[in-house]
Amino acid sequence: MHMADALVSPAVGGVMIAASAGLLWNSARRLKENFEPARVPLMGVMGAFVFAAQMINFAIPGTGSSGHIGGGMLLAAVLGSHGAFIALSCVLAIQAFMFADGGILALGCNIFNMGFFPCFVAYPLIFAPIAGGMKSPARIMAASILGCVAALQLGAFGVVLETLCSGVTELPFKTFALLMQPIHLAIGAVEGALTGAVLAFLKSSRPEVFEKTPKTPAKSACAALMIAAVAMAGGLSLAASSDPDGLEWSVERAAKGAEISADTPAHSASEKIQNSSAVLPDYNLPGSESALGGAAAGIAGTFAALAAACALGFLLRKPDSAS
Amino acid sequence: MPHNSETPPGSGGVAAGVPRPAFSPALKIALAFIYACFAVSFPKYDLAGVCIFASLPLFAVCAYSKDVGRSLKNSLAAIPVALAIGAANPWLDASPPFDFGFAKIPAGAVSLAVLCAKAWECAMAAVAFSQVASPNEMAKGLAALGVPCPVALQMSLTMRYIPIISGEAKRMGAAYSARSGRIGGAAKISDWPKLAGSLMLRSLDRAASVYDAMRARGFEAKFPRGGFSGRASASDFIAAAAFACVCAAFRFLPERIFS
Repeated sequence: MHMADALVSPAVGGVMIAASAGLLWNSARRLKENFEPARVPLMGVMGAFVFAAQMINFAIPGTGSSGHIGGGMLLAAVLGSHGAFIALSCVLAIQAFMFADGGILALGCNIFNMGFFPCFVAYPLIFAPIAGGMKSPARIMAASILGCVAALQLGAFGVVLETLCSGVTELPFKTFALLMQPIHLAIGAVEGALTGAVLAFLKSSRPEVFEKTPKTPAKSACAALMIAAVAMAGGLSLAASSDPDGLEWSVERAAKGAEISADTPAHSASEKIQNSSAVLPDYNLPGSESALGGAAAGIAGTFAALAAACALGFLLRKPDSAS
Repeated sequence: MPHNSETPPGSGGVAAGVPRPAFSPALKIALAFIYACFAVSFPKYDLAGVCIFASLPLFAVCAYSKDVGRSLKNSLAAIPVALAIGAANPWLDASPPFDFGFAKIPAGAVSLAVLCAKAWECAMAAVAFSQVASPNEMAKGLAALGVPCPVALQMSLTMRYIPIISGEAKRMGAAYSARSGRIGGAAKISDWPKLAGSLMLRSLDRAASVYDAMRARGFEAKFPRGGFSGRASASDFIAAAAFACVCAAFRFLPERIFS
């Protein structure tokens, strides 16, 4: 899933470098706050381990090809979210600068896609609750598979968005996403099974390794997710293409430039309702056509979606939890 | 993984006896970054401009690499990704075809060629960087560019361990091949967790012994103040600006001359 430089535009690359640098700075700050001297060499060695483990390829049955693990979930299970994010970022930087594997401009995208999603989303929100203190191999396996699948799906979706925003492919969004997501579903399942097997092996031989793993509260995971959503809505929307999307493009070609209209009473009524209820028409501030207005509208929309999700969660919560 | 595992990371792929430019580490990183930014900024159909622009890293690779052929081969690793992403361009790009005199080439095919050329030259910039900077210089350069101290420390440690743990992985792979008869091939998927688990245990043992050694030498468990080295100097900024001007000339002048 390493993105090459050619797949990102300078604007998208810059936004993602800024987002990844912010996360890296925050992780470094958190690491300094909860500093344990013994974990310094452990982090270095675990980073090198992930690098070396990627050299031990496994044969994918029936395909004649081979693959290797990404290692984000493995690192997060041993080092915690912040330590794992730093270790993985270092590995990706070394691969980009020293081995030309993944681009220098695309480093921010790669850190975000392969580091942020497993360390700050899949690990605290999926792996840790399911693994439940790494009590049984079955729980470890289930947590690893679900965590890796979720992390890879999100990472692959990130690749799709970043590539489309950069305007380097003619593939429509839907087609591109339909190509990327199923492939990474299979890869995620295999990586999850292998990660689960390694963690179960480690748990049985060195259980003390997991006793010192720093816990990431769900609150900070949600905050990280929110920051990512705002960065994508506000930052990437500045770099988004103004060309029509796949559906609009198809309709334009099908209509051969003719204006498409539907003058039925139902259409008129729905248009009136839409005009009066749309507070941010065409993903922009009212009366504005600027890119900054679009970014502001994106951020406002993100907060609105968050408020709606919170309201829904509040309504659906269990009655006993209210007290 | 496309990297060349035979090249020890500690050496950065630099051949002994080949002189390195006396730039600061931060400047080397900045030059690679500036080059990548300009390279990807070429319009999607500007094949001539992209090809001319490739001469800069090509020059660096030829000047500072002992094994130019191998360096060029390593830089080809990025092309399959670009091919996969742009494979549909020749069919989906509705722009009018380009008339090259001898044939009309679909616009999508040109944009695919430009995408592959960009991927190759950006990878070549990274290869050129690895020829002129050691891994330690890279960590120092990132620290000078303001990367937080724990990250620079982590990077420095990781780069020290990579040759050791990679060597361990190679030995384990060779032992596995000798036992299973799968010479040079990938491990069976059912054997992989045990191989990786054993490697992880050895890595953990290595981390424990390194920590003991660090404590014995007076490791105080404090991050060095002010990072690993000083900030980028004024001459670094001037040199980076001059290189940006050269890149801008390569980027915009041919367009003006030939149009």
